[in-house]
Amino acid sequence: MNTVIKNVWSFLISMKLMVVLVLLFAIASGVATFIENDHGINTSWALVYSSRWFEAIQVLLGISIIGNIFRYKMYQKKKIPVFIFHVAFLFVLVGSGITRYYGYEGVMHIREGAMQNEMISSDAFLQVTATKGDEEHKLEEIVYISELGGRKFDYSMDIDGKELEVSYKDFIGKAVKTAVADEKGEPLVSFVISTPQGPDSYFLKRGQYVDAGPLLVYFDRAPISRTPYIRFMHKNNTITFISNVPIQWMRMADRKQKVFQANTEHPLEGGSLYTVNGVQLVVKSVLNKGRVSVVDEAEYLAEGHMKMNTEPLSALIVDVEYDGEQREIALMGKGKRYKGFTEMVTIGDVELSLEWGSKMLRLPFSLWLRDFILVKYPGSMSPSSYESHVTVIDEANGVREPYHIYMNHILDYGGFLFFQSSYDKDEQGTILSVNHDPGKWPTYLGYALLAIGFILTLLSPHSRFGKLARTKYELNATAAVFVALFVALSSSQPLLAKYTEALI
Amino acid sequence: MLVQSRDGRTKPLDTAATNLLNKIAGNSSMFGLSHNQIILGMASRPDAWKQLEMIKASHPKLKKMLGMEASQKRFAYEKAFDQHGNYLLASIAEEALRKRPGERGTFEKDVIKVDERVNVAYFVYSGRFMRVFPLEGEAANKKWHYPEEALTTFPPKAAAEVRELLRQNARGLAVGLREGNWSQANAAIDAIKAYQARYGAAVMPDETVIKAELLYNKLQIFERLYPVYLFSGLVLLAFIFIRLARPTLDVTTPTRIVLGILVLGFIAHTISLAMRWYISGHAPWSNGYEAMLYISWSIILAGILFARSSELALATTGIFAGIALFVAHLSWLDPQITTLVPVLKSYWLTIHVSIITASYGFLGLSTLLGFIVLIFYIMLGKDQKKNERISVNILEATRISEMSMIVGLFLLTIGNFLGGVWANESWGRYWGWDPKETWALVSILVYTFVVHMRFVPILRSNFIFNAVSVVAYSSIIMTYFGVNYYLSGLHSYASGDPIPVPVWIYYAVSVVVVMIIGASFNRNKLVMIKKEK
Repeated sequence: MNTVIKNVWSFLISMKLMVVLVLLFAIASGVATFIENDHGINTSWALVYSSRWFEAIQVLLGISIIGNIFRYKMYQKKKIPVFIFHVAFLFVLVGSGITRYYGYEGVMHIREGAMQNEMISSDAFLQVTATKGDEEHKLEEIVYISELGGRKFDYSMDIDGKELEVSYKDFIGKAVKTAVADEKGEPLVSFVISTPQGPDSYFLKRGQYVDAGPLLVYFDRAPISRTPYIRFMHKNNTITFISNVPIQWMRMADRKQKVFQANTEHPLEGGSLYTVNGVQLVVKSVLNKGRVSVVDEAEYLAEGHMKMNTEPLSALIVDVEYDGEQREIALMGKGKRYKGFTEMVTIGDVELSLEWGSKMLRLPFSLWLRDFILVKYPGSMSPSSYESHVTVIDEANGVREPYHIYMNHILDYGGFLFFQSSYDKDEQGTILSVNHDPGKWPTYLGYALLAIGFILTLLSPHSRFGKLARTKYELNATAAVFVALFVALSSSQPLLAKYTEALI
Repeated sequence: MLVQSRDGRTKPLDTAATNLLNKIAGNSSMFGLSHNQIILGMASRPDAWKQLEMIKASHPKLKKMLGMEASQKRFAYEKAFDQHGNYLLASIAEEALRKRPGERGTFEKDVIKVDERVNVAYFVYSGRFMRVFPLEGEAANKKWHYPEEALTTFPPKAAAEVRELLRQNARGLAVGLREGNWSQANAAIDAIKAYQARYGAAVMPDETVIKAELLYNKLQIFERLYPVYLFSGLVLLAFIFIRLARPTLDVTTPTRIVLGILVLGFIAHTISLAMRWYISGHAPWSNGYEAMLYISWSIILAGILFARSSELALATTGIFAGIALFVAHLSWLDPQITTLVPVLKSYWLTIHVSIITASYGFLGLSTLLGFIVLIFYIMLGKDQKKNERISVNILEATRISEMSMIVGLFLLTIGNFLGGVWANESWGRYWGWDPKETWALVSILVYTFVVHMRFVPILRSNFIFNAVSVVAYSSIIMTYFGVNYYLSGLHSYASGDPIPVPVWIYYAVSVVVVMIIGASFNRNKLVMIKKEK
């Protein structure tokens, strides 16, 4: 047994493993930048930067450093410089680990004159709230998933001795909600109403209604006001409609048109445009037995559906299991920095609310935005920079402190840093990025040690550098090469200018 | 004549004109005219000057939007507007500005810069930069006004006085242009000077200070000094290597001459810094630019102090100081005129840029040496005597190459982490896996691999070290050319977009491959020479 441990240890700290790990680390990072270029930042993070194996490489390198500090006895007096900068890497590694696991970022939006102590997280969470009677159980976990894969999850919650399991099923990058026929389903009408902001999609079941402003849409429900309405009805396995105003009808496929009189009942047809009181209502499908399903946009378009003009959402599909019953639930959202759409389901005796997206974080103090100023170039309307005049209000510590946040001028209060990052289009509100990072100081200490270690290494006669500097291979040699080399080097100045631009 | 700038400093028109032109065009003279001529020309005949290509833009996408050819560097003010007079960049500039600073790409950064330049140009065309008129009795005459403002907001009597001054000035200019007789124009300017002295004395600098500033502007010592430092450093380094290679050669006198040049440069540097201190009235380390001037000064000082014990120190400090001054010069080319803070104004960023630049130099040196060693390997043959001679060269070059690589890796690592500090102080995140910083990390890892190869038996060989040191530089090339080129999000490689590869890369790769293969045949012919300590 002892020899096994010894063998494993000597493998872990072997230089062979170390060089392989370093190369793997380099290749993985390099490949990740290309993944990010093609598939976006969510994917590069899900596949590489936040993956367990990428973390493992870094941890193994840390172990390798520790092991080799002992193997090469770097703590000896003459090796102190080398020791310092190797230890520095450990500080940087630990610091970045702390940042990663204990630090978080968010975005705070404040309107002028308002107080704010909440911010939206920049990470996307799976948020599950299970309510049973008066009891509430919560689950909040960061999700690292993308179209091309990522970290799969399987969480369980204990609800009065019974287990609720939420696990990863699938992820759809561009997802569309659509109505599909299902023998176990219920009557369902899917339709789209065009509004000035774009089309709005609805899936109506019996007993529900939609208020679209100048028009109300009911499904097996008594009208609640005298506003023009269209009412769907389910009878004898057919769905009909009736309205208190005349309706213009057009079938999309053959452009056939007709006008239906008010207060007459007719069968409702899918793939048709109904114009009611000036509102255009496109009924897409009319199903006696159906359910709402989330599908990949590509599949949806392949079936001959029209492309929606709205920005597509993504869907995180999870399996929920409780009390012997299993459900598949699609959580629509945009991932990082966006709130998701909440899905409510009841399984057995538990009411569940699930959401995938950023969550609200509360700070222990508030910011009051006294004024937001957009600085414009003199004599023109174009903005040149912007600044927020805020007051920190910390009731617990009795602090009221005015501060001025602008580019490169940060508010640092209570362990949080606030940066000016954007603003509302109407110039009446500010958007600050907020950062809480306890890993900063270990990391900075690492940087400092690194610099000290490097300088000492260059000065030390015992370091590799020092030894090389004092070595000399003797025999008469040709100097011509070096002369040529330096003529070439010193004529490379214009290149410098070009490159420095590229660097910034 | 004095004008007042946005920060409230009253300075000679000469200084203001240099700043403005640097900002707009990224250059302090154009079309064979001086900065003063151009700026005054723009203000007096805006319509003609609006048609000249003088506003700098660099991003290809932006150039396309402005109707520029890819090879064009600058565009005319007019071109920034469509035929209805709508500003073409209005919406994209606002969008770019609303983006989180950490998320702005190269395109957004350039849009913001160009938008600022267009606005500064407008500032000049409209005469608003000519803040030359103080108002009697107003808030201790702290704020000066531009002509239009003075004419419309001053009380009647003062406005009349300003109008008379402007009229004299216009008449003088007209006469000057017509008859070549500038005495009237000069008299008009003297009248404005007198007016300034009368009402704005509170913020007017001393006459000698103004003279010093004009002299300082004219000398442009810092701009002239960086090639001197760089070149002297490189030449000194060359001497050191020559002596290493051939100890019998006497390079003492040339070394002394270069040392002398460096000392003279240092004296000029010191005087210039002192002048700057005298002119601005505060110690010259208040912003990124001045910090760099000061840092390069102290680097040279350290080099000179250590010159007796180590010529290598003097050589490297010369190169360093040269680069530091060069970076400072870049920031001088992008002065702060509006509220927008130029990128290089940050203390951390300027240091980060110069250290990284220096690291590329050292790593490049080790690549070149590696390449030369590969040639040496190919030259190895049957003649044992000749092989011995070549082997000495190989071992010496490898030794220097490894030293240079160690220094380069140290600098690269520190420089990159300083970039992290800068990012953290600017937008609260020292590491965000942004493509540029990720590739800098890749370079660090690649070179970490190379310097640790000697601990792994199968990788421990002189030949492998040199071959790898040549190949390793590709990570650096990727970091500063490749990232902007390939990872700007303009192409999607997965969807079948062909990866554009510049032709020279094919040549470079084939040359390197052929060399490595050629050299590998002779890798066992290296004669191990005894070391001397």
